[in-house]
Amino acid sequence: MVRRMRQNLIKNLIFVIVLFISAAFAFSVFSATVTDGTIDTTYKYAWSENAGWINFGTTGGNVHTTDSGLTGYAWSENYGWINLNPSTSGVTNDGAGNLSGYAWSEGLGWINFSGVTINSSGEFLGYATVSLDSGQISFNCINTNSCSASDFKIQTDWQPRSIRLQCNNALDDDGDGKIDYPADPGCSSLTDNDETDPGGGLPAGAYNPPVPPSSGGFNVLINGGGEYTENSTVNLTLSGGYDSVRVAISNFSDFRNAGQETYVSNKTWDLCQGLTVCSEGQYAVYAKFYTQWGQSSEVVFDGIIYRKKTIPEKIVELIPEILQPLVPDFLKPKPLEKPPEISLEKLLSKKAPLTLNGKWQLLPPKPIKGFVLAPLPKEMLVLAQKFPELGETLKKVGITKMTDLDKLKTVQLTLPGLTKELSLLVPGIQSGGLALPAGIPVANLSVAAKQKIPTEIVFAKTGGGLIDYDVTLAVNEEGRPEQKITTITNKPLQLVVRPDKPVKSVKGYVVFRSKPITNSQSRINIQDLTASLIFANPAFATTQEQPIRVEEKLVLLEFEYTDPDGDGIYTADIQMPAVDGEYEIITVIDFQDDSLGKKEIRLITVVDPEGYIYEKNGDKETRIPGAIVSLFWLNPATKQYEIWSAKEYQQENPQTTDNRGTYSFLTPEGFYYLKVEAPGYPTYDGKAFQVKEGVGVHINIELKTKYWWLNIIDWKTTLLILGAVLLLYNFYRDKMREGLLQKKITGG
Amino acid sequence: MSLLNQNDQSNKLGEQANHFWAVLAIVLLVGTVFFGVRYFAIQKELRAVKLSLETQTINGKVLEFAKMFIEKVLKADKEVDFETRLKLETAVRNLNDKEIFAQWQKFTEAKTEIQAQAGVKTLLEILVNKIHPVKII
Repeated sequence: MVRRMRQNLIKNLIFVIVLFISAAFAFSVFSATVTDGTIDTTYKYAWSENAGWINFGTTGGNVHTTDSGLTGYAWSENYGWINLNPSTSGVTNDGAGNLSGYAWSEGLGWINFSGVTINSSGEFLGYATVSLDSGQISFNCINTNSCSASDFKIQTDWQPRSIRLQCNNALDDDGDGKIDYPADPGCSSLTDNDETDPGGGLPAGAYNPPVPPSSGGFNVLINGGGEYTENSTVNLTLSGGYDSVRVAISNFSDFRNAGQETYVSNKTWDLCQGLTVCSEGQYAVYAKFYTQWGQSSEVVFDGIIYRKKTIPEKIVELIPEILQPLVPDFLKPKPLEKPPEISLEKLLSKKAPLTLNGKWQLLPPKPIKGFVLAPLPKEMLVLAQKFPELGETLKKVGITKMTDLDKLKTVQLTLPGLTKELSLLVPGIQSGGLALPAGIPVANLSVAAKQKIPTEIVFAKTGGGLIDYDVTLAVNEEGRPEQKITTITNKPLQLVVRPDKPVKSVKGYVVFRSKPITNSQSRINIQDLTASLIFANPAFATTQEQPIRVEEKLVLLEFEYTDPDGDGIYTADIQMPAVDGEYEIITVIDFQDDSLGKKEIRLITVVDPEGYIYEKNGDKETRIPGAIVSLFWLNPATKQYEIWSAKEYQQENPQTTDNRGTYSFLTPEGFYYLKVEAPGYPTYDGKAFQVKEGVGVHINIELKTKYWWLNIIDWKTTLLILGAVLLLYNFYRDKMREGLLQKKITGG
Repeated sequence: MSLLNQNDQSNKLGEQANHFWAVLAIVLLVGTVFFGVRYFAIQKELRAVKLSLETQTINGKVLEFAKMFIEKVLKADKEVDFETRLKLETAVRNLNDKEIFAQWQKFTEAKTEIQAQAGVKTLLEILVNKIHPVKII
């Protein structure tokens, strides 16, 4: 019996202990989670059109929600880990559940959490935005009213401060300077909902002096801070804190005979109140402010000089200022004596205030970091993603943030052309040696190669698709990347683009921007030819904000890209304008999915004039028509120059100049030289020059005539010389005649 | 006859004297007007110069204080000593500008780091705004 009772007792004891431990565990879990929440095991997914499902509740991710922000990693099925607390940013929480700041993903870039909130149930609401493509991440199916189709959301057990109990809400509810359990003596546990300190019957704040106003502290001003008054009745401006309810005002520093009155910010006051005689002189008014519990502030005061003006002084005051110097000194008011100033040394506390004790960071580091460490512009990140070589180059030269972009203002980066980008460029082989390193026309690309073409980048080709333009990438004054190609007037240009989604249409516009400021083509020595080569480059897509407006821009050409073989690669063949200048080729992609809108790809195109052959006549140039211009290429195999095979590139070589004396070649990279033959002129053999990639040869060449000296003598000079010769001859004949007559006379 | 001549002569002398005084009066009047105009013009110029000088002096004082504030407070890596604080207090009072003084007080009386940071930003903003371009005369 006793044994049975003992067993029951042990059982009951174990039950009570287990119950106690469970309760304690449950309590500790509860108390910890409302301030440091984890993600629910069921509701842990967010959805993005581009990134797919994003799991915030993976075991390895260890996502936590606190009053200050989110930590840990989320997992995107398409783009991998997303760091919610990267070192240069991070998702922050204002304690009320309003999230902001950025998360970082290698694949997606920066993700902006502004717009995401956590409600009182710990449910995430709203959308985060992927900065790169403005794609949205939905945190709750309720955003799109699609919960019946797909019930997803992110839920945490963290709760906003406003709904938490007083002793666990990270707020100083009783104003005693102590926060929550166990720091605040008014809290007995985390579940205690009253932070008020025990004893006294009054709240802790009742023993505190009034809080000074945020601007300028407690203050009293007489007549708005004026120095003098003619009237003993003045106006006081009082500045007490928000919890000041009464004020004591006195003309004496010991507040004799002064009582407390209701605090108002403006009050009429008599400087002579409490004085038997009200003479002229220095007066002061003292004030101190009181809380509802009777706690007073420090004493503040202001001074003013009370002085009545004499009649001559009043008269002098009426005289306009400009005539004041004419008034004799004895009529002018005597300068008022200033009150003796209290020594600053006495006023100043020996102890440095908190702001000057050297312990605080006086300049807020966050905005400074935000400015200095701001990420690269999204256009640059897009390009770096689409051209990994560019990304690596930027990393190598230390261009990782916005402020590093200055380094790029003085240099130009080159992005590869289409064939090079697809790693297909190989030197061709032909009889007699290696052929020119030719590009591959789009139609000849394999299906795999076509799929590798970066999307929403416009590539430029010419010469029947055999010549690729390289990309010249520079940073403009606004810190934005700018792509530019340079080509030659009247030359054909093939544009290639691969949209990443099905499209309704792809349209293009050639828009005039400006005449070039410098003419890169004229007066270039043949030795400097590489400076005048043409470049090409792609641009990237941005969401079109407004349609191309013809009335605002000079649209020279409107064309349509086509995809006859349905491989998703759209091409357009256009002719460059006949007039040199700076143009913009704008490609507008109209997606089938209306929600994607339209995207614009801009490509600045500098069109240089063709080269020409000329002869110099004084300061003027005369173009030479009918000159035969031949371009020779250095065959690396034979190490001999041979005539460049232009037909492969849909051009002619040699070219015969027209009435304007013009010519031009678009060539792939290699070493070249020019030869010019024209009747009446000696043959011109230029020096060799190097052409890098996707090049235009269009230098101006001066020919000297064989009979150059004929140019010096014109008909006027000839007539003058003839006249001078005849005159000289006449003089000579006269002399001879005189000599003969003399001889006859002397002889006779 | 001779009496008549004498009368004529004295009349002529009288007329000449009248003319002289009239001319003198006109000359003096013109002189007064001329110098009066000159006086007012110079007074106007003087006021403009004084104003410009005053602006320059204020700008100089504000810049001097801003320089001291940056050098001694923002760049300080330890507590600002009493002597420096005294110099700063003297400099800020010498500016005779209530707005700057109020902001300085607000800054020195800050109770939290965030308040101090906000105070620094506002103080620097006020100081920069107090510097006015000087009109060159």
